[in-house]
Amino acid sequence: MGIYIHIPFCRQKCSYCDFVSFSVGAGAPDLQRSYIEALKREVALQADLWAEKRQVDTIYIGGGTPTTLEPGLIGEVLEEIFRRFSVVGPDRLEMTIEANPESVDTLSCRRLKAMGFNRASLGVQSLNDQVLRSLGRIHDSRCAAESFYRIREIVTDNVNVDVMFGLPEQTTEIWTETVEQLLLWQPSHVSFYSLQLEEGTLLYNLYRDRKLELPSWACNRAMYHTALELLKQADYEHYEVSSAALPGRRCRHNLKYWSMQEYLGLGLSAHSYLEGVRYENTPALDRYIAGDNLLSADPGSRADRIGDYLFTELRRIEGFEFSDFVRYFGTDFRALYDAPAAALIREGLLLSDGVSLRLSPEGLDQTNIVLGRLLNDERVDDGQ
Amino acid sequence: MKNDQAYIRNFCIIAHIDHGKSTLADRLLESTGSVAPRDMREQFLDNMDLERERGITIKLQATRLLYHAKDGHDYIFNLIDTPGHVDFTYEVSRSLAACEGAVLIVDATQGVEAQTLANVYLALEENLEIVPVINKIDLASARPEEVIQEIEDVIGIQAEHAPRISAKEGLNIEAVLEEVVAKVPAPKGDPEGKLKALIFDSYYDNYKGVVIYTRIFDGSVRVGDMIRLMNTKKVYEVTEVGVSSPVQTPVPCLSAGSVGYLCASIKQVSDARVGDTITLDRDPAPEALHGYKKVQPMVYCGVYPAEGEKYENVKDCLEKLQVNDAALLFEPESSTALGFGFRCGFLGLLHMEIIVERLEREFDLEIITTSPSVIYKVVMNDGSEQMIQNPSNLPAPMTYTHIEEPMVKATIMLPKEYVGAIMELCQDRRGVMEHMEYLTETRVALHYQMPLNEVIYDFFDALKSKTRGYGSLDYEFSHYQKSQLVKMDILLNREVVDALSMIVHESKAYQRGRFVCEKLKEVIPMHQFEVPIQASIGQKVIARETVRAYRKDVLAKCYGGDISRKKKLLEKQKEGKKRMRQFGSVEVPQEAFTAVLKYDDNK
Repeated sequence: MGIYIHIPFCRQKCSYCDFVSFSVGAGAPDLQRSYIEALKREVALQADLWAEKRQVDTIYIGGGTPTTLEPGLIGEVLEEIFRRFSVVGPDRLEMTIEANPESVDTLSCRRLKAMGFNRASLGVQSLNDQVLRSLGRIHDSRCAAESFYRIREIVTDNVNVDVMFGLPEQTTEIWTETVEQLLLWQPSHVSFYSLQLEEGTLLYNLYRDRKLELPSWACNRAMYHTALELLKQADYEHYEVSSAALPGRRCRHNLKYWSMQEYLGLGLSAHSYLEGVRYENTPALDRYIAGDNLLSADPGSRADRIGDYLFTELRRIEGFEFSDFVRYFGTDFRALYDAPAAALIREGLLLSDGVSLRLSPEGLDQTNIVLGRLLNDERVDDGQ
Repeated sequence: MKNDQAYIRNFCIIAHIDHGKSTLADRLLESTGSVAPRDMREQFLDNMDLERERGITIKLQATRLLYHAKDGHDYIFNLIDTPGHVDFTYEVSRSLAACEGAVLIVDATQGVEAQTLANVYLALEENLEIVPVINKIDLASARPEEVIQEIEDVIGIQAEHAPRISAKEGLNIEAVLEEVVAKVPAPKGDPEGKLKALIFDSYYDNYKGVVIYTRIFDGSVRVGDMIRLMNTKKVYEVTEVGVSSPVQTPVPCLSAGSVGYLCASIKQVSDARVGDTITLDRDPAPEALHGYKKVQPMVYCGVYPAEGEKYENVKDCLEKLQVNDAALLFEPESSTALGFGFRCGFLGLLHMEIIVERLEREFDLEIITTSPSVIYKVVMNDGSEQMIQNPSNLPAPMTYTHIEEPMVKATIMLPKEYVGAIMELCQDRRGVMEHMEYLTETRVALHYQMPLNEVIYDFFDALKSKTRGYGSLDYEFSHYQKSQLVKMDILLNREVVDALSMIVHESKAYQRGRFVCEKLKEVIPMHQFEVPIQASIGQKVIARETVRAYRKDVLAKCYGGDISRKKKLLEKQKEGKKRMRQFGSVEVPQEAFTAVLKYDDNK
């Protein structure tokens, strides 16, 4: 089982972000303290339910920006987890922390190391300062590089770097430069995401009101494929829609999300998948602190579960095996989805070797449309 | 206890909204021991949750209190609570008619407001003795001396001995009770005369049927009497009479001067209308009490089941509400955009908001409401008249000579520094000033003739915003007036959405059209394709906006195992489902229908 812990604080919220996180500037010690206490209470509570018969082999601390917290606070939560859950030994445990460049100094790196983190994920987003400013990021490219090397030197050599494309002010040249520069660092893992405008964010409103332009769709896709090409040349394995890793460095925790494995999410708005049921915690901080954690528990209908299966499994580049589908649902995938799957294969969006099914390179450019058609929902088809 | 009229005091409390009426009522109940402290919920008289939440009184309540006065006698106080809002003026006037006196609360920090004055005038029309009380003297910003002066200047009654109280802190409540004994006249009815009793409130009870609150002027009534309602001419047998103290307690008989309740197996509140007179069927009074009128809705809007909600459910719930609310009218209508629904009539905007909120909250309905509309009088070519409540039903332009719209007399009271801004606002809303008066050195009353159509959109919000909350409004229907009105349609992706059509004054059409298009652009989410939004009059497009296209072809970051984001894209989630409406290929959130009505400071 994997454990995810959500830390909903950032020094400053980025203009594209709609995750549950609060800007706290230099810090809000009382609030953070009460949050950590609530988290510890949730650890104890969930341990009573799930700790038995399960071994924890991945821990992932995400946010927000976990490193805005005083490291000792994270230590307290970890201590609680190690006390109440059975966690595998350090050599088999993958333990990741997310960090933003502005929030890692030498001292905090030493403390992360001491706590046992053996994987880090650094939110670099771009190595072009103008682009970074347009995202509302508070670091620059130099700070990003320094932080990366600091983490690698002090904490772990297993470091992922997050970058984004399809950004305002970003051209294909700027993006190519960012990726090339990044590869010189030789991170063990790269995550590369297309910007998505989410309702309610500053960028969404700016774009809607025509105060902001984004690269065209064709350009956005060209950026994606450029990145894939450069990564491949540098011996990275593209294993998930937005992830590539050096051999042996795939993220075991995130793979759980894409392969129907169990994970327990702790903290504000955290999600869990346990014994076939999807749980969601409340996104309201005051409620969470008051101990009113759970927002919903959804066992899902069979159709829901098949939908979940397809859109998680197909995120992996190798796709899923038909035999695996039968094991989960007792039915042959091809019997259920014969017509839409055949059409998508004919159009070259899906690929099958008779044993498994996966997205083609073209399919990767239209994942929503492919899944929408598979699940027979017209809404995600191109509306025209 | 002697049931002698000399020891009865029937009074109500009148005040501007938020001046502390319900709080004082609570204190009176407490200090006369009518409610044990353990039963004391805040604002005991406000029964409905909604009333408590919004801090306003919607339905009237009557309560009997026993008070041992300083003169050594025991008095029966009948306290009749009144609603404070402009929508419910008629209900206020009927509850006033049941009293001999009115305790007038004025907030020591705010002074006399529009509804204070409106209520005082109503009370004076009913010849009530006014007992002024200055409330909230515990606040640092209280200025009781000035407010007393204001009462004397503006209202023209003596106020120098008015009790200075804090209802919230329970300060000086005794003084209010003594003033009621001393100043409110005792009732002077004839207990032996023919029964004449006024209905001043009624509500529906699942077990008893309609419960009528009544004031007996002459004669008496007891269980078994056959009563006649003089205006509706219906006859019923009385099954229970009693008093609320404040728990309903049956008594053998209600006689001249007293206030109580009465049940007679009546099925609908609309059969026992407020203002009607009860008499005995075998020995009727020669004439009814004056002042009965059937309340007429002033504002209409469409109420439609949201996607996934059943028409029948909405109908059932409206029927249930109507049993208790004689002022709510509804009839079936249909819209090409929204399907089958109802056109509902309300006393005013607040009444509408309350009903809509009750449908959503108490009955857990998912509904969509359309732009409120007033009733237009359309004078046809052949001279006949049509009353139109739904913009979609406006006849073709060639078939009528002109349209008339309802006008109201509006009174606005405000501190003088805002006069300029509000005169501008009123002018913008096609108001014509009748006169302006200085109530005191700092407070002004503006009297306007205004189209009701302009008042119901967002006038009240604009007034509050532009006066920082210090402006107050009261209005009443005045007359119909010929006006240059046109129907404005809204098109989404080149298709008319009839539920968004509205009737506007020609001079305002461009402004309104632009505003609506801009608002819709803000609330309609970006689609995979461009969505044009147009406002048109007939074939002519007068405003246009475009919702940008935004392609979401690829999966978003799936964070921390949260797969709900992708689900949102791939299937209509429950939450999204009930709040969105599909028009052709365009998705419109439910809030779009109300967003186009909201006042916007920046516009």
